[in-house]
Amino acid sequence: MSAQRLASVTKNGVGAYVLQCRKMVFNYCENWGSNKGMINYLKKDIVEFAKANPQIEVVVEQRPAHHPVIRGEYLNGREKVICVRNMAPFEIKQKVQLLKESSGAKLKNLTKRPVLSTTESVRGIWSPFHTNPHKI
Amino acid sequence: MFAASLVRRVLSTPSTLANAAITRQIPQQSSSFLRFVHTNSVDDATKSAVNKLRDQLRFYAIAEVAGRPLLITKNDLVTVHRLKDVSVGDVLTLDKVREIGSKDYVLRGQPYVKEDLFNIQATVIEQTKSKMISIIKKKRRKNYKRTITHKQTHTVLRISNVDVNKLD
Repeated sequence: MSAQRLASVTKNGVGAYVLQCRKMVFNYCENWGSNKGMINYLKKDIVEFAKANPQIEVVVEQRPAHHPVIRGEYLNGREKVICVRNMAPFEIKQKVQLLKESSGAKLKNLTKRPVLSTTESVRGIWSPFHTNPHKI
Repeated sequence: MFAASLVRRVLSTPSTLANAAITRQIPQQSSSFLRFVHTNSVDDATKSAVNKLRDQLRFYAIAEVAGRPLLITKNDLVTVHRLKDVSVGDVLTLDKVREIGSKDYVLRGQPYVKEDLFNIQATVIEQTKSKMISIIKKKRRKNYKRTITHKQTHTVLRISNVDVNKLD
């Protein structure tokens, strides 16, 4: 038995569910015009979002001379960055929702296999030696 | 020994296990019409059949998730098209199950298995998008080229529970 196989594999959602997004950083600039929507969002909606999601660390930082950006950090160590330049507050809200609901996994083509399973087949693999003999 | 353990028996007594009401005719002296009574009690044949299935411990189910029939077991990750009125962390109960089985027995519904007999739950893990795909349309020598970029939205569910209920 290797050490890897002795450790239990977490299946998020089976016992308890843990939100994958752990931190969101909001970068804005006071001067650039593309930040107007972001500044309004930070004034009105962000407190509501932070209160509704106590498990996410919400950080607001000034980043002068840049477009507004939202950075989401996830439990798998990856980061998702969305530039929200020239967006209205409701659009920024949608992007925040998108970041919150994602896991940090890289975007993949998910349509190919609807079910991903690690359980062995319940009925067992077919064997020619264990089926009814052919009758003519 | 092998042959006995690998024999599969289909447990379908149609009138009791299907998703239909059990009807009983009550004779009326004066009227000429028949009265039907719905009964939700489970008879002994059903109980013994379902308990046989339950004793096997590991189950699979062919359940309709977001309209599509999928073969699922516990701990599976199921990706469906985005479910709009659902948020991350919600627990969904799957009710349209066509078939629930174990190694040697299977319960087949007509068309669905009765909901009291099983308990299948899924947790919403993620609401993401796929990788960007570019659809390029071109007609050569006609100066026609169009590019459509698209990211399909998905909901990822974790099947947290596939269980057959105990019938007393």
